[in-house]
Amino acid sequence: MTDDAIFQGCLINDSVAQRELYQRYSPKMLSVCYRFAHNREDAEDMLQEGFIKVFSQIHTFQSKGAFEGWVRRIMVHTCINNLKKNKKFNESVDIIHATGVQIREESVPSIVQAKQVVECIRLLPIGYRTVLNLYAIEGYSHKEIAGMLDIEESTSRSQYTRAKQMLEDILIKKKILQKPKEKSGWYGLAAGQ
Amino acid sequence: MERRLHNDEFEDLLREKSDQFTMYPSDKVWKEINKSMHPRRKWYWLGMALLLTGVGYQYADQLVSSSPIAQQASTGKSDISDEPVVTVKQPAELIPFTSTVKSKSTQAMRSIPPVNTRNAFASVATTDLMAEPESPAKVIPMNQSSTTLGNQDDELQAVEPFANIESLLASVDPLPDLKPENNASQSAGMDESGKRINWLQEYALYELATSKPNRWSLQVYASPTMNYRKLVGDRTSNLQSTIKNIPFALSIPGDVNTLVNHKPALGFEVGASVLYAVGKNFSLKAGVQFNYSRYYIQAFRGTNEIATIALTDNYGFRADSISNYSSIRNFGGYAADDLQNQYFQLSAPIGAEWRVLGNKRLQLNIAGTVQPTYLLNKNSYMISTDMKNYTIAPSLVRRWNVNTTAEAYISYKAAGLRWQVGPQFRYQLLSSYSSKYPISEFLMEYGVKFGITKTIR
Repeated sequence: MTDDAIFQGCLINDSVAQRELYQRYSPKMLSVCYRFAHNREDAEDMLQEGFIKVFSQIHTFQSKGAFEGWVRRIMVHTCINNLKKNKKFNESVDIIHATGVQIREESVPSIVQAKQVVECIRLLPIGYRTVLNLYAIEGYSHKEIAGMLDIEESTSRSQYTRAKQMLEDILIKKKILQKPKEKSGWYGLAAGQ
Repeated sequence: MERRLHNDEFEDLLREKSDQFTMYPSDKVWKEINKSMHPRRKWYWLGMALLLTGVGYQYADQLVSSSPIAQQASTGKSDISDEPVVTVKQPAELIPFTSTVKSKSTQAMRSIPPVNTRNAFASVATTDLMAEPESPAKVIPMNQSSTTLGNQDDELQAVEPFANIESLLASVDPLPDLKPENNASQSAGMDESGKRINWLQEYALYELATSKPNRWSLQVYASPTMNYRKLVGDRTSNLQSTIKNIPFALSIPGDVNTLVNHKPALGFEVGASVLYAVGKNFSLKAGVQFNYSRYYIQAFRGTNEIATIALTDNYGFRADSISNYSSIRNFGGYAADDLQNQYFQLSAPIGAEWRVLGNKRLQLNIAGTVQPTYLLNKNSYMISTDMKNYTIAPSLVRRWNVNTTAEAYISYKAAGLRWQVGPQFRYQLLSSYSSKYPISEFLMEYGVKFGITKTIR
């Protein structure tokens, strides 16, 4: 099935085309949701809600940009709305995660490096994690993040700085990254990774 | 610039690794998406069919209960006219009732629709037929197709029917004009009267044998509620001596209610009860009820701090505490943060209802219950001892509790159901927290309760 056929099929609510589109993008989009979500179940709920929005609003897509980018933006906004709705962004998750880093440290699997990095991101307190996800990975500006999360732009910056520092510590502690060499100024991947 | 390069490299690394990472969703995700995008209409039709069946059944039930005979039976009005003739054609059907009716005949017959003496006589005859079939003196000759009372009817005065059957029988000459030869002239009226007497046999007398009051009812109800709490910090008097050695737990004196910023919030309750009518105006009830209670906490976000709760103990000398990291502050912070204390409770209300005013259709009632309550789930933030932070301490939340309710409501009976609406108030008798937590929280709810009651037997 060609991209155009899938798109046209989705426009007329065709189940086969929708399934094709879902199979094409769901693995990538689930990983996006997983970085924002509290657990896999929440991530799947966000994915489900996001795809329903994609299929419902696909007629609003204008072919100016990449379709994947459009789907991804919907997923990110769905995740943010979900976090805000469930109060997980605002509430005590910070407490739990901040105190739980030591506990969860041992549970991070060492299967592949990409998964390790993502799991380390997920160890961050949810406020830090959300800002880091939006800024460093999804490419939103601090101004956009401030608007999305109803916070000050300066807050977004400071959250990101702290998030990055905490993530660096975690990655080094887990030996996924090497400590920065003083003169070269940057990290290297740990041996064997 | 070097730092900027450092940042970019770090972000590139994160982006690259994140993009490499993929996950495969479970099958149920697509099923749910597909179900949302393509709902199966047959379920709507099934739902519609069930609805129509229910409405049809209700309508048929109403139709039957509002038929003339049923209305007569229920309202006590009779269309039996002043015909002077009594006809009893089916004595054999009445005999089985003898043993049950005999002991209650006088009292039970009071519930039969009031008629004049002539009809009373007809009923008396029928009653006696059931009560003492072996006594020939009081039994109307059943082998006759019709029986005439003749002109004696004009001399009989209208009296309270069935007030005293024995005296009534004594005052009436036992069938002085029973003349079989008059049967032919009265035969036309006999048929009509026969039908009416048959009505008495088939309905009124049948009702006599089974006229037990319906005592059991089933009630379902729901209520949107406004929830709040009452905080009591009296235990801090004992606390002052115990917290001195606990770091980061400075005590702030004062009424705890003035040191926190809480707001009421909407919740709800749903439940079902079985009612047993002890008397005409008084019922006992027991059931099961679910409550969702909550209230808002206006707090602020800040940096992570240690929040310490100093615990009380029964002996007054052991200092103990619980400490958590918390970024939620009671006052001061970089952003407002509205929290909620939520409680999901399952209760077993036991109580009573009393009808204060009204008739069978419209009533004013009051009711009250005591409710042993189990906390199914909660989301409870507790203020630290220094009143600076909110934190969570699940071990300090009480699982079992007791609530009480008081309510008043207006009820109206229609379509076989009793509909009720009225205000209610619910109060939690024990603190939401265990005695170790120095602050007591008593939940309270007030709302408007809607209910439906159906008599079941």
